[in-house]
Amino acid sequence: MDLLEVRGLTKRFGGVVALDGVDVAVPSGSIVSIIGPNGAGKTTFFNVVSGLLRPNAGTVTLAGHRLDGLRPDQIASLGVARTFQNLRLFGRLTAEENVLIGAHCQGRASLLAALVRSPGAREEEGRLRRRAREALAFVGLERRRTHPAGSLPYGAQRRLEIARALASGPRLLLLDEPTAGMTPEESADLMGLIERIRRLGITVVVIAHDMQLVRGLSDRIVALHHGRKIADGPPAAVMGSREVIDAYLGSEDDALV
Amino acid sequence: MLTGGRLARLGAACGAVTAAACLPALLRNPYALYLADLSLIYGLLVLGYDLASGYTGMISFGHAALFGIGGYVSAILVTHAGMSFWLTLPLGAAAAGLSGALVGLTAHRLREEYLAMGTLAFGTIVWLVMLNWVNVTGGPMGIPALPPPPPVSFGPVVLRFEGYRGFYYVLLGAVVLAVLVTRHVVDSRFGRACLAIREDEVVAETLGITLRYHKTLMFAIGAAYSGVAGVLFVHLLRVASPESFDFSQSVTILTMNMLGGMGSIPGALLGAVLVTLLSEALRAVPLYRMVLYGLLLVVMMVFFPYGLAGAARVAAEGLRGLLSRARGGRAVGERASEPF
Repeated sequence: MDLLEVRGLTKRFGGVVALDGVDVAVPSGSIVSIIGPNGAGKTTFFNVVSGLLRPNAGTVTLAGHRLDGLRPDQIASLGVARTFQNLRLFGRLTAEENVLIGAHCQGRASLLAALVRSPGAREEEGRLRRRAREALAFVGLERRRTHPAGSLPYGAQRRLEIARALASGPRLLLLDEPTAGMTPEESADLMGLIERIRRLGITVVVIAHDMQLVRGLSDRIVALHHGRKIADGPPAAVMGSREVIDAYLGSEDDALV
Repeated sequence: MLTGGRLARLGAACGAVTAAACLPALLRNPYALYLADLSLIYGLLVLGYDLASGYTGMISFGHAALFGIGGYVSAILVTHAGMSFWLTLPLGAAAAGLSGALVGLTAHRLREEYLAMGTLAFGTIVWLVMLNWVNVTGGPMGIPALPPPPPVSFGPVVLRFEGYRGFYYVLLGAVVLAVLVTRHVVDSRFGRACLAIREDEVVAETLGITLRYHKTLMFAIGAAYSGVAGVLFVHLLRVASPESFDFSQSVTILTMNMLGGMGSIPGALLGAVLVTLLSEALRAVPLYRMVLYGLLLVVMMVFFPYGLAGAARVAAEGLRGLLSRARGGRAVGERASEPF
């Protein structure tokens, strides 16, 4: 069954068509990669699915709930979490605070309950803190929980951002170029982390620039180019497709000009 | 469970309250007592302002209006309806809180300079109403001859609040309560969500935090503090008049907040006390007061963006680092950079 179903998604910025009638189906429990050259519309796709941008046309459905037209916070509480291409941690807050904020939608206690420190609010606070510790441990950062997020090494910041997203208890996790700027070893580690996230039962969509990196990981690859979907299928088929090779390397017609 | 750091903080807080409670015994001069009262009122005001500015990232330039709404609501109800101060105190807080909620609700989409302009407009409108709605507010003359808080009797014990000395304990109680409320609000899921909004609104929203709800509610809570401060202020001065609630008052509040350090309870109180004393020292040259505030703001922004509280924290971390190095250990430095 498909967890995420995107149909005819179109997003225009003035005259520029960033997404042009894109259909994507993400099966529950799978890892799907979205590849494409710069400006293909990959990040726009994430921004529309997570509600930061409104589509001009098309629908986004998560397990039967329509997401398009909802605010980002509503989409998040339905179980969609994401990371950003350019790390967006709360740099001045500690690693633990970052992840605790990530766990926001796991709590229900009212402000009044927090004000009087009711037993329910205390219990919930403890539960959120445990959850945050677990998420930090999952990405291997439990020993750095009191460090300001901005002072962590780059690779650790990437993992912290993933931990923050995981703490929200998502069904669908959108990772925007999680390996950008990483060394090959760090990238390989991160691929392992994504595989472990899938084993938690979380469906993952990854934007990737480097197709070699995601080929072993992905159940399915979707290739975008100039806002259109040019290929969609198992890794081997997508990477062998004429359109994809042309999009990445330039077609022979281009070479003659 | 009390860790060493929390125990030390609790001790420091108890010490500060005890010292503050003993202060009137040391001050013989009524003028000094008046300044102590005024400092506490500003402390309350800045604590409320800081909830929006320091803990949520919403800098307002119209906060004096909320202060004034509390003051005028009490002055009008006491004078025209003959209500007791003890009844108008919560009513003034509620009126300011509701006004704050309306401002927050309309301004939650505005960021930075646009929020500054929006709140400036709100402050100016409220001030003009105070100045010109003569039948109700008394116009430029204000509402004079306000009574002090009436005595409260618990059986044989009668508490009196006349004079600056009696008033001091009402104010101290209000400030202590405000500090406790602030701590509980800030150190909660709600407060952390507001911090997230301060740091990055877009990310906060993608983590499931509803901007409108959090900004509006935090602004309203801060406004309610200001309403309490306003009620206390007009009954301390015995008059509610528009000049106390104009734009320069908003700038004063902002200056106190910046000087002490945003997002810090000791910072808010320290800033309030220092600027209150400074402005009294400059009473003879009122024109230079705003010039000095302006300079102070620029210097703080450039050299101490986290105010005196931030500077103190950096100094403490530096000292700890030096000490542990002297002992041959490694520098602590875990949370040394960028305090707030």
